[in-house]
Amino acid sequence: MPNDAPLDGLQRLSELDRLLHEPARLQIIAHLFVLESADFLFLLRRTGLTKGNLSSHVRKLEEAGYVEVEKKFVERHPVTAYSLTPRGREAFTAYRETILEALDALGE
Amino acid sequence: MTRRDGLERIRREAHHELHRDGLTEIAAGVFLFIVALAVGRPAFYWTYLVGLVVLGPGLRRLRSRYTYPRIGFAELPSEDRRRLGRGMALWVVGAFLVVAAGLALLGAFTDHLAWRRAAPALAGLLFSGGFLYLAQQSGLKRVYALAVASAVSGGLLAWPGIGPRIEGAYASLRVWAVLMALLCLAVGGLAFRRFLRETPISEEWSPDAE
Repeated sequence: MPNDAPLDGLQRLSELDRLLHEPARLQIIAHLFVLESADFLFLLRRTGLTKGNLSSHVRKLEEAGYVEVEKKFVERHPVTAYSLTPRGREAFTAYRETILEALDALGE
Repeated sequence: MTRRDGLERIRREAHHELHRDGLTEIAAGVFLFIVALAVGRPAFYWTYLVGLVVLGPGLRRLRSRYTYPRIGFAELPSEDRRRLGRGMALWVVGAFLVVAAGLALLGAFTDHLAWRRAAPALAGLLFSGGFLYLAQQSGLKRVYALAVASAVSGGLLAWPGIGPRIEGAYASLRVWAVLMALLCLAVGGLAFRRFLRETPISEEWSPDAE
């Protein structure tokens, strides 16, 4: 007999953070989630995005307060390091939980 | 890979990227040369300290000059010190137990000289722990090979009848340290050369570079 009750996990998809629900931004934030910080070049190489794309997506994440930028010196060399803010970390954790729940609801 | 371990893979790939320059192995080689020079010679104990103080910043300087302009800069999250310390302590105890079991099997458990001759086995196991840790973090196969080489060469040099027939309490330990130092420098040197050849300096690296 078909069950008419909606799948909880799927229903929660509407709660997804739309800012993170974009492949490029998700890639950037996933890398920053596992690193303390990374510069533009490292993210460029790891994500495979174009310079313009990476730049605009990082800016959006920064404007949302998910990513912060710090100018630092590594052995007297200036480095612009990006890192995740606590808010960004929380948002990504919540996003992951929601999407995993939805995928679990769909089954294998 | 399940859909839940993707982040672990990203973390490991970042580790891999940051360690594929071979500089960590070169630093290990230099440290092993210091071990070979100073072991059993109190007059040279200060070199351990110099090595520990100089190698870290030296490695950072080399990476800043050769690695980051090619792959970019990234900082890995600091380790959980308690977990790391517990892991190291367990590894040290395990290495002692393995050597003790080996000596017991040879009927030399209470032989003071046999324990000294077994020093390369113990050192080999201890260093293999460090290599294994780095290999697990980065997934670099050459570092797994160094871990195996460290444990096997230490065991062989400590084995009665196989080790060098040199008298002296620390002779075989010195031989082991020199062999491993040369191996680390060769492996690291080749990896570094390959890294420089295959990864050109990026145009994206800050033009303010020194």
